[in-house]
Amino acid sequence: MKENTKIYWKGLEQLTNSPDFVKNAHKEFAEAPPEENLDHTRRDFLKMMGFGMSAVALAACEAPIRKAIPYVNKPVDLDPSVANYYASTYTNGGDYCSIVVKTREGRPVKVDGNSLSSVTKGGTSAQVEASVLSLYDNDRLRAPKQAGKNTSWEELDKAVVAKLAEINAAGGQIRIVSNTVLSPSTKAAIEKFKAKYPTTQHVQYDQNSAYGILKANEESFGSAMFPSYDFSKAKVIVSVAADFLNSWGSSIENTKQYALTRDAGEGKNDLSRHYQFEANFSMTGANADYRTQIKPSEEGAVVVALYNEIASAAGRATVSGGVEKNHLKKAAAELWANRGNALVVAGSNDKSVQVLVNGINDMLGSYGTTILPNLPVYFRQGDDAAMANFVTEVEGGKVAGVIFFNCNPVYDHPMGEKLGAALKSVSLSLSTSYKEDETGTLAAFLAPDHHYLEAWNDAEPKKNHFSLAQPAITPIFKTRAAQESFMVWAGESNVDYFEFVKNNWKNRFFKGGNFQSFWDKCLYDGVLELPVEASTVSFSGDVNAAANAIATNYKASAGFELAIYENGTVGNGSQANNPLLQELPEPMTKAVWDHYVLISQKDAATAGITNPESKTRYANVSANGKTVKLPVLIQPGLAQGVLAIAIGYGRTKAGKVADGIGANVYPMISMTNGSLNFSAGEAKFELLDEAYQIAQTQTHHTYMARQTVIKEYTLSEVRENPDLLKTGFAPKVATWLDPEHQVKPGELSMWKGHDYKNHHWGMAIDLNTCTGCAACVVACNVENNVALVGREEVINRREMHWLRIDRYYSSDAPVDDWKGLEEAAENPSVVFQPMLCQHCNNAPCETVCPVAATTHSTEGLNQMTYNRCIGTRYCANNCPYKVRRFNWFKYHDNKQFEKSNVAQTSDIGKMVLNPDVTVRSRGVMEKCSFCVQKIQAGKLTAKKEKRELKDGEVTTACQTACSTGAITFGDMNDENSKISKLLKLRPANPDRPYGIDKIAENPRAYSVLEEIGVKPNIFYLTKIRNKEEAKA
Amino acid sequence: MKRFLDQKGLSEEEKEIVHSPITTGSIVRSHGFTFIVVFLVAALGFKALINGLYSVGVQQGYAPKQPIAFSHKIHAGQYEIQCQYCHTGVTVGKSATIPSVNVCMNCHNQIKEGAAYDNNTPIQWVRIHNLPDLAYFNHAQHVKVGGIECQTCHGPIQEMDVVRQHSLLTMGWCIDCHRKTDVNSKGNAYYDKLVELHNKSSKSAMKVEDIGGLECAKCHY
Repeated sequence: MKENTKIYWKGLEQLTNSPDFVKNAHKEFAEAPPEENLDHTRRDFLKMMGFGMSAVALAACEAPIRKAIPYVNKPVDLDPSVANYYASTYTNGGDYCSIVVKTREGRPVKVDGNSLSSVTKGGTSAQVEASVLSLYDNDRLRAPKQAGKNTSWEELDKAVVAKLAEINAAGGQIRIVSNTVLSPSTKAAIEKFKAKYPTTQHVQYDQNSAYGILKANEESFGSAMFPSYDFSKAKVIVSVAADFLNSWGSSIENTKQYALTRDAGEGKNDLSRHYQFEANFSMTGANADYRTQIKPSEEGAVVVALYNEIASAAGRATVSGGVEKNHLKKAAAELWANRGNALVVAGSNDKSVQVLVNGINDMLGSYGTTILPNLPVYFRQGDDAAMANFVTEVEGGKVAGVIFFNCNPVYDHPMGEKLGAALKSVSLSLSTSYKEDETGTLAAFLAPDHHYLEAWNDAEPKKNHFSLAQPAITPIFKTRAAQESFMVWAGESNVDYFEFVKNNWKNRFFKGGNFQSFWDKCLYDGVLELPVEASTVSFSGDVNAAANAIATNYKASAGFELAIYENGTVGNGSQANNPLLQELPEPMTKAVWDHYVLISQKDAATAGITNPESKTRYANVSANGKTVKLPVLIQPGLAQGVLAIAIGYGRTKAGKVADGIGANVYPMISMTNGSLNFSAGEAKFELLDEAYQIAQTQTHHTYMARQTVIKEYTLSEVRENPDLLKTGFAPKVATWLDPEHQVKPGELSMWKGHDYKNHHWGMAIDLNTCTGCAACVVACNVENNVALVGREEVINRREMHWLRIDRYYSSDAPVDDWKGLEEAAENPSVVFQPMLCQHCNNAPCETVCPVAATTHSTEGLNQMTYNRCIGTRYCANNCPYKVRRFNWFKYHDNKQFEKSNVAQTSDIGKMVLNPDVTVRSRGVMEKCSFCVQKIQAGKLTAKKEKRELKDGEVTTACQTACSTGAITFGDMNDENSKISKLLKLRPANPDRPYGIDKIAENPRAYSVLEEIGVKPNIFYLTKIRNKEEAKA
Repeated sequence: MKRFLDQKGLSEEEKEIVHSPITTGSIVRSHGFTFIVVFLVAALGFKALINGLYSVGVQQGYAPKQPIAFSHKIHAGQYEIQCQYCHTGVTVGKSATIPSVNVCMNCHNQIKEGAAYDNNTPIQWVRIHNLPDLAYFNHAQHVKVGGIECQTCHGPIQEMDVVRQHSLLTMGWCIDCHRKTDVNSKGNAYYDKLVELHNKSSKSAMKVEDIGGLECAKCHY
């Protein structure tokens, strides 16, 4: 029997067993803050108690009068307390997701994916899930503004039209600046504006630009497009710094497709192999089978080397340049062996690099199989050159009027500062953003658009794939659709953007029949997909010129290089004021509420930095003439000689939540070869003495000295020895009978067990398809009204998330091999493990509660009753999985948590709360409930319809949010349910088919901490890596 | 006892104690008596206090004056209008719902005195039945699935001119009913398996408590 000897560690402090880590890890709760930190002394407390008692006594004399206010005219399709669902579309610049909005009493409370869309296929991302809270942002504009003062729309229109007429008469230039516009109707509205003011040009730019890809495809195929990729057909995937699961291309779609190739289910034992060459440790890199560290300046050279390898195999001419890298030859050989099922992608925004990538894909026969050039996606239409030209024009005084259409270039464009300074000289400056952001502050007019959940709109994310957005709430403030504004300013009367969209669809897509039923169907589905003609492309790029350009443009520097990346939480910063994203642990660093510069372990050692338990120091990082001061964070796996910083921070006018966090690194982005370059060849790093503690959750809730937390094997190991999965680690307990008699831990029990006569809820989590994106965490927060506690409280280890994703680094060296460990730590492999209440059948928390506030249900749920809890916290101390969370404070209606807990402290924020879930108060324990409110609602629907509950009717929030289907939830008593089939469940005792004990015959199924015998209702499926050797 | 003690050689003081008569006064003055009285008073007082505290927030009989003198006695009693005609949400969701004004105007279109309707301002009724936020109650479960009459909880509403809270609405009251009530499982396929399993192990009818009706997370989440 071969045992898994890997060592798993959450952070370097765990690997080195630093004293701080050990001290914290042994405690379920960090120490209470010292008394002087509290606002009140003990005497004050007693006084307050005395007052409180009398106040309660007085208040009890007469109950407050509560009002019940019905509608005057109740809408037919709206019943109070019954949720309505509307298909709609999430767009944020070029980011797109087809969604279903859940509304209660006319308020959107949750966003889920729409499975009818063939683009996003029901998937979501953390930012999509969080966007519902942005609707209720307290810092939104409440009315149009002129010169800093609120005004009415009539006044604003009058002033704007007068200005425009003046500019038009003088022949002045007008520019509409926006991020990528996906909506055909919006573009039509802009056309109307252009027709009226013919000097108008529409300039699009993207924060995370893909202009290089558009240019490269123009050169290679004659069409500036971003093709669709089909990762599901790829057996070998090579990514050179493309974070395609997070921020590159159609990331939700990519994730869906990628997961299909990583599914190690039975009959699907052919996993894809994924090579990643990158500098920063991205989430995509963490999912790769082989990951090679390169410097950002080497991206081009790696692509050249790959090109040459494949060209020699194909018998074509090679190009000059290239670099030798670990795994590169192997990757090339496998790509060639799997041509037709191979895919190479690169994250670089440089045309030359992308031309070579196109050349490689062309030789591999990817076009038509893994790349679909006839089906371009429109997520990134930004033109870096046009945007740079626009800023120069404004600086040169050549532009008389600028309309910023839902974009914020002063913050998120590298030349933003120059633009901001030059705006004063522009005669008409106007922003339609729904907030007074960095750009809006400098604009003379603010004409706020609706939030996307309040507005009609459409989108074309992919050729001939259309998507409708419908309002899920009446506009909260005095905002107006920007498209209506454009048309009003163009002199149209009786403008209604809804009618405009509808007519647009009628003229473009309606093919006869009854228009109303066509429209209703489109609205119901949210999407309309029309066939696309097949076409072929022929590659005609100049690879030699591209290779030469790479050689001239990129020189490896001896010092540090800077990599600028978009992370999976706040993304490009447009939603930075959303605390759901700020408090979401970043998938790799597990940091929250903070911005930092990442440094590799070796460089940290050279510079003399350690950061045990997130305690670190500031450093100044300079590149391209800009300097930012940020705390340093050591990132295992980061390439040596590289510093990495995320965009999306350093907002100054985002609002209360985001302002003042970190530094803006957009100005550090430069132009190389005609497009934005998200790296800098030379960066200076200067360590400062100032200390800082980053809020980081990585070592919170760590298990000490446990074995069966993670199970993973390589595909080759499993193929060689299929029994390995079952025997790999199977803990046994010795009995008193005789030394030879050993049983599995679950078989010995002091309890007689009980029967779940109706349902037995359970969950399976596939470690192979979990990419660690954390959309589930946000979904859980929104569904269950989980409080957001803010930076300070996270440092005190008191985050409230019911569901966390444990990110484990792993190394193959044995524990005592210090040198080996250190080496492995340079480029560790990663496992993501979503961890939530395991709903143990023999739950240790239940037995220690003195007031029976946590009990077991007849459906296998471990129930937590807040109103019964007295806050002894025994249950959390006794929970082996560390998934229970204690309310240290009253987080709702508490001014101290106004910045983080906006959903529970402001009147407008409270509109997002799920009315079916209690908002917990101070002093009670809480934890994952398996979304019991959704279970109860599903059961009630079945009962009302007098039928059995169908499998798939009840879903948990995390399951719905998961793009890869890594989470399966269902009734384990139902032998035809998806979960029963996946796990191959059978009752342990055939005489007790409804007994709690179920045996999962799927060889990959295991329980975390199986040795303690608590019999969880959550099963994990072993991770299988497609590697040949186990070494990292 | 007295005689026995006399035979013993006791001192004068001790003899006095032995021979002192047991009078009402001596009983009243004795420590034991004081203790018993104090204990009883304290216990009763404590019980009253606990009962008092338990009734905090219990508003049985609460019958506030409403902005419109709407009489259920006339509508539900005299005219025998079905409850669901106005309270449309009762079979659909959690709230039974107070009818919107346009429902009133279905019949009252001749009278046309509805200021609320004309001005498009809703009527602000005083809420009578207040459950705490921590308790989840769903009307559809009880009325549509359970087939319970409105009067079971709301009392003789058809006789009330002014509606008052008929029941306690305490958790004990809920639990009590869940213990006593048979599940309305007839013809409802959802319960088939449960009934079958229940009948195997028991001869009595399946009560709500038999299928988890007393569990915390049925109402608290």
